[in-house]
Amino acid sequence: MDLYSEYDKVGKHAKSTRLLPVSVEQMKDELETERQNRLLEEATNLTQQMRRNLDDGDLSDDDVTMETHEETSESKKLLWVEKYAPFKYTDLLSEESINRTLLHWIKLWDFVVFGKDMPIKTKEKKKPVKEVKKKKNQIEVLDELDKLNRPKQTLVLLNGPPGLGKTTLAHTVAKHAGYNVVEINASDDRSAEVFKNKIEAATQMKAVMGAEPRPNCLIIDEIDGAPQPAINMLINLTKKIEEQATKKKKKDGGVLLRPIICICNDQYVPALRQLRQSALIMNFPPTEPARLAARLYEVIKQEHMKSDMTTLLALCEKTDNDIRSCLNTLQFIQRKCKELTVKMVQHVTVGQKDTNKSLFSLWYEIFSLPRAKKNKFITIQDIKNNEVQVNNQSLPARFNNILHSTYAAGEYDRVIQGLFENYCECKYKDPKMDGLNFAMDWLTFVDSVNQYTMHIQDYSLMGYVPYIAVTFHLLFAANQPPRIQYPHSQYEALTKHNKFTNLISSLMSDMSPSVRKYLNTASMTMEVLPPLMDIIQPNFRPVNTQLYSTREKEEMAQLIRIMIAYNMTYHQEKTIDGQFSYVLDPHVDEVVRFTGMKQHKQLTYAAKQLVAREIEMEKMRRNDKNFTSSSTPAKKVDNKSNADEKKAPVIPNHKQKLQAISLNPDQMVQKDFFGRIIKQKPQDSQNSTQKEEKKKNVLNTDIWFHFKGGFSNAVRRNVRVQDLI
Amino acid sequence: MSLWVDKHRPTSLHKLDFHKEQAAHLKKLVQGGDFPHLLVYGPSGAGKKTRIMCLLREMYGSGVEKLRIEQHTFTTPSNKKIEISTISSNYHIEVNPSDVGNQDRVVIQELIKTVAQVNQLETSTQKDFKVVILTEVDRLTKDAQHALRRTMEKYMATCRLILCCNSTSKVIPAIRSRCLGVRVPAPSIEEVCQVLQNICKKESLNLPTELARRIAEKSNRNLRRAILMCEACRVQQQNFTVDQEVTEPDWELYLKETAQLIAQQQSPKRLLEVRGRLYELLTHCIPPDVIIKGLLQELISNCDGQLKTEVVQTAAYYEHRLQMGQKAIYHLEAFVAKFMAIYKRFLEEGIADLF
Repeated sequence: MDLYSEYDKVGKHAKSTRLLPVSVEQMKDELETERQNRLLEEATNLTQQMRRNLDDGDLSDDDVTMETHEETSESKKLLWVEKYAPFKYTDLLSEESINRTLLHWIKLWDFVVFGKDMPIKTKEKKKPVKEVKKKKNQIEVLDELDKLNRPKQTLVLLNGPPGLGKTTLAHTVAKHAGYNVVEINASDDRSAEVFKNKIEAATQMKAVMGAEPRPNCLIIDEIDGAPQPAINMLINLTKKIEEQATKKKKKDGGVLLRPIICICNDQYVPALRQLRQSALIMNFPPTEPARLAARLYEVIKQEHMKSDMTTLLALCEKTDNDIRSCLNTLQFIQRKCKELTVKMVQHVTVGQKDTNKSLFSLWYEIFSLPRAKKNKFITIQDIKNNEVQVNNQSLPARFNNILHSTYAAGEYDRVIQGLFENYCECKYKDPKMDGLNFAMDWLTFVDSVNQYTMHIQDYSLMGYVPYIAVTFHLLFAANQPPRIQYPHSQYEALTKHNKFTNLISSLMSDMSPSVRKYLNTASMTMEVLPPLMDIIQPNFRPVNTQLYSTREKEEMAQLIRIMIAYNMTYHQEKTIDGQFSYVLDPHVDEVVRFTGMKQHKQLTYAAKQLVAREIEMEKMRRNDKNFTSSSTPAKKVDNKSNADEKKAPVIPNHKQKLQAISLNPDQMVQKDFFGRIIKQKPQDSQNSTQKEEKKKNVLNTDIWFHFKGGFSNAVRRNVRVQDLI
Repeated sequence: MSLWVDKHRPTSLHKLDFHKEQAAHLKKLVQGGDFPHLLVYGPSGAGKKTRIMCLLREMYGSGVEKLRIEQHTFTTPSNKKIEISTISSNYHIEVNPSDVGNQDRVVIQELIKTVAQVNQLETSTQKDFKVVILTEVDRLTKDAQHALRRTMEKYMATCRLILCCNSTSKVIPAIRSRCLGVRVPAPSIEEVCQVLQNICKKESLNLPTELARRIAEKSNRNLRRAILMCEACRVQQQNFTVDQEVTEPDWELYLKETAQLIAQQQSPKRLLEVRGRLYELLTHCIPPDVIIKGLLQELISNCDGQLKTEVVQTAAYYEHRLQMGQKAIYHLEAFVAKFMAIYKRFLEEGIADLF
């Protein structure tokens, strides 16, 4: 029995270890139920939708409902941003004037692009609107177009914060004017070489295939992120061609004959500096909230959501009139529920854009009190519940705002410099200057934090730096902030300081060592140079040197010696007004003199000239002397110093003989390889003494060592040991 | 060569003009032919370097006066090349490691090793060690100082170090304890006068004692400055007169003017003006601690007794922070602003007391 039960157990276990954990039948059942559920759900959805459509009463036509239904099912995949992007010029949400200027500019190209020499394209100009525009163009041709009949500004730079529809505008307008849009954006490779190829491909070729071949219009999106060489290439393309055009007119090769629209968020990026000069810059103003809200209302109506204008306006405000952000938020909410309320708008976290504000706007923000912004979109419940901290004038809000902006700006160093240079201009009440001291304390604190982080490379303290901006805001913010200036004095001071240190170090590097030994840079600038400048300006009579008295001659010689020792000379320079003058070289004069101090006496032009010449002469003379002194045979060996040292009668060098130092084996302790002392056997001593005698005999014989001083007589030269030491 | 400072510089220990007792001590120290590592400290222009050179001459003879400037190149671990110039004779080498800024540790390690690892060839006529002179040790980074301390002991057999600095406060105790400290205090006014008189006698000029005294006072007991000023006076006028004008360096006058500006008016606008002047001083290579000290000395003369301590305390506080920070202008301005606040409060209290 036991055996059977055991067998059963084993069997059960074996049965349970199948390939699948669930049997096929089970799975089939599950699938069936799932399918049923899905069908049910869809059915209910359908009925709901139909009902809602009826409720709205907008779309009474059955066909339309069906259509929209189909659309929704397929376009659920589409982002609303794309789905509701404007297709027509009239749909554009951006400001009318901007739209029109851009359209006008692009129309200016018509003459070149669709002009006479391209008769095939005349078909495109069929539209009556275009004819009118064309006429307008021709009126403006005289003053606006260049030799190649292109607009004077060959580029347009659209500039504005994200989400206002710059790209959309560019696309729409280009299409509207009958172009085929070619876009290059940050996702493409934009190294100079690739960029060039692309631009050339876009501007000089056109699609042959397709029903209606249209000329290209190049849109360079996000150009502020492009590398400098690529942008330079673009500028060269526009400029170089102009030169070429003067030579060979109407030659198509390499001539830019297609409009290019550049789009950026920040037009002050250094890379764009050159481009800005030649481009037509169009600043994008924010979209009007009312217009945006109206459009949003249309959208949600089509998407069957419930809401009202106030809510949408609130949304617009929350997103800073960013169309893209609005649509994305709406789509997101739509997936959750079908109704949009003010409360939802307030609670939804719209992607706070990490907008890179320019430094100027940051400084402005710090130094100005926030404008009272009426928040229209608070419901009574909100106030009751005390949930909303909407007032942007409250202290915590200001604190947070400034802190966030500073964090976003990065470049703390620059920010702090800006604060430092501008805070003194602020108007604020601070009779006891306590606020000022508080601010200064913060500055010094931040400076030591910076030093610490740089030195230890520990960046954990870096997070505390931006709080200085908050401090400055709370201390100095005013309704009328000062005109903020870009901080450059620190940089100027640095360059000037570097210049001066370089002057000093170049002066020090070539000084004679015996002088330099006693000096360092600090003592040089503070102690030596100021009086030295006076010392090297003695009174010289303005007469020929031949007439100088001995005393004057001595003075002159002294001056020359000093200047050579301190590595100074005069050299001629042409001043701006064309006159020649002698200036000190290196020009340490600048380092010592301060503006607004007493003028110091200067040598006359003639005197300086004289001094400069004398210095040259003296230098040559010294070189010469050095050379001759080493070439003439040494008559007397200077043994004085040696005598001082040894205090013993010394044989002159050439009479000295090399002597081997005698070894006394008795004194030497013999050691073996490992350093152990070898004990010598007493009987050896006799032997060793005999050997020693022999050795001494050898040493007593006169042995002369003679070294050849040179290879041949031709190059042999007497060199004194003194010169070598 | 022939500035008076250089021309009349004493070259041997027994010719030194002041601190003669110390000179005698030094002489005794090297008479045995050997000496420990030395740390020579004292204010600028007190004759530290002169004393060191005298000492070396005493040791090695006139050979130490044959100097040459050499350029050395070192490669840092991060493969950056740094260059530094040294002044050397056959017996010693002098280097200012702080010339290369943050990389001074490399200089210390490499240079001293290369110098110290080579034994002198002939030990019978030469000393068996070389001397390495390090100047401005107080400007060395901590890293370099730590690198130095083991090197000092390790190469004791072949090299002696003479460290030279203005103040020992920035030298780590480990180094201070390895050296024999030699303090060279600034000469007293009388001593400066005496030296000036001696020099003028050698130049066969007649220096009035009053003028000598004035020069000595204006030089802040800095002998180098005193001699240079004296020579500048000579250039101005062939023969000295008692009431001759002694020109002070521009930067000192400028600093004094700045201090007066601060004392005259206390407002943000004035602060801005002062900032410009501080920048000007800084760009002219005047060290910030010298500026703060100069300002303090001038400002304190405008203050009452009790105020004095407060001002000195703030100056000390900001000077300390200055050393910890990197942008000197912030700290200088902070000090100025603080002084303005203190002084303004003081003035207002004074006016309030009147009524």
